[in-house]
Amino acid sequence: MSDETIDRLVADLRPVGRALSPVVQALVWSVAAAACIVELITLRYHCRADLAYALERPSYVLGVLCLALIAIGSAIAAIQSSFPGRRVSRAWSRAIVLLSLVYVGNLVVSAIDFPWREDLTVGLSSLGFQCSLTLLALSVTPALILVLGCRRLASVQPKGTGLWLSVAFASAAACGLGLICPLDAPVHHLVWHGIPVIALALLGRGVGPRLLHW
Amino acid sequence: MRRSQAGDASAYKELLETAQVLLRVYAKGLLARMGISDAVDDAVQEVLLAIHLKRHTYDPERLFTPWLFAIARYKLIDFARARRRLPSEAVDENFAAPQSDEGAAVDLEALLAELTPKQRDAIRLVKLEGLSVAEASEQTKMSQSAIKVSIHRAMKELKEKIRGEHR
Repeated sequence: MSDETIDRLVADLRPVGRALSPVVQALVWSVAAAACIVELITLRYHCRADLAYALERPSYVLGVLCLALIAIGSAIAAIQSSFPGRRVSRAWSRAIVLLSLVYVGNLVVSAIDFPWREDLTVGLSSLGFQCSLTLLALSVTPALILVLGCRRLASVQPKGTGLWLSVAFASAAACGLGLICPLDAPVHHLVWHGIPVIALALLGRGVGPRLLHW
Repeated sequence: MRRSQAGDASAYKELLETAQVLLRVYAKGLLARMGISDAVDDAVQEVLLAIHLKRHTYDPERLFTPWLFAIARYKLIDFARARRRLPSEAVDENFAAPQSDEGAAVDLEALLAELTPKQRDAIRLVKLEGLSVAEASEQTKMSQSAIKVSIHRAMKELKEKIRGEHR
């Protein structure tokens, strides 16, 4: 029976182009995701009015930079884990965790200088819910592109791939959200920007096996 | 596999035939651990089809066997899940297992141990590690024709051994 299968498969053989390396694919995705997010910000949302001023603050730049690096690093991990027989190295995972800690640490340091009463009031205000919705909206197209890219490959660790790709698109969206949201309260960033990223990551890990099944 | 990706039908046929021998041993062991012993042929066919569809994901710069067995493990577990409707938790435990797959390695090593040292070296270098006959010849100090003969005889013996076990 298998011999017949082999004959059929050989008859069906066509030259195939090898899949691009994870780094190249992730960089292509990053450019596409950035373009989609910027396009959506231009069409639907607006950049924060004081963006030029914010860009002069090292803590703001560090936050945006961390999120961008987390997005690119996680996209590389997602694509790497979509190649059979390859794994994401521990060093790579640790680097991404370290970047996340730098991001949170940066918020904690910012909180020291921030008036705590105002921080809590603004941070816990339900107005922040709008930020979470915006983050979801910004993440849709990058998520679709990355899921389709990973599905074209062959993930044999769908939970891990699901987790990495969710972290990638959610971080990219959070990075875009940083250009829109005028609120600098660290608690607001942790609650309304950070929790949706964690929720999406867990969701991605959960639905990964169904989403990436091949 | 490199030649197969370029569309070389004879190289592809040879590759699938070799893979089929290895996969049969692997599938038999893995499915038996999941309580399935009557569907090795069907499962191997599924894996061969998966190899065919996902051949673009193989990087010739890397070893062939980790790629092959990673696909085989995934598809065999999928196959077992469909057959036995395994709870997803049971399958996830298998995903968490190391990809080098010690079970397959043990089965394969046991099978290779029955070959002569020359045949074993030839199979290991050319069929498992993906070296060319010339590269294997250089490494083992055997002539190229001796390598080819060793592979031919080893494959014949492996097929007979597996068929014998399968009956």
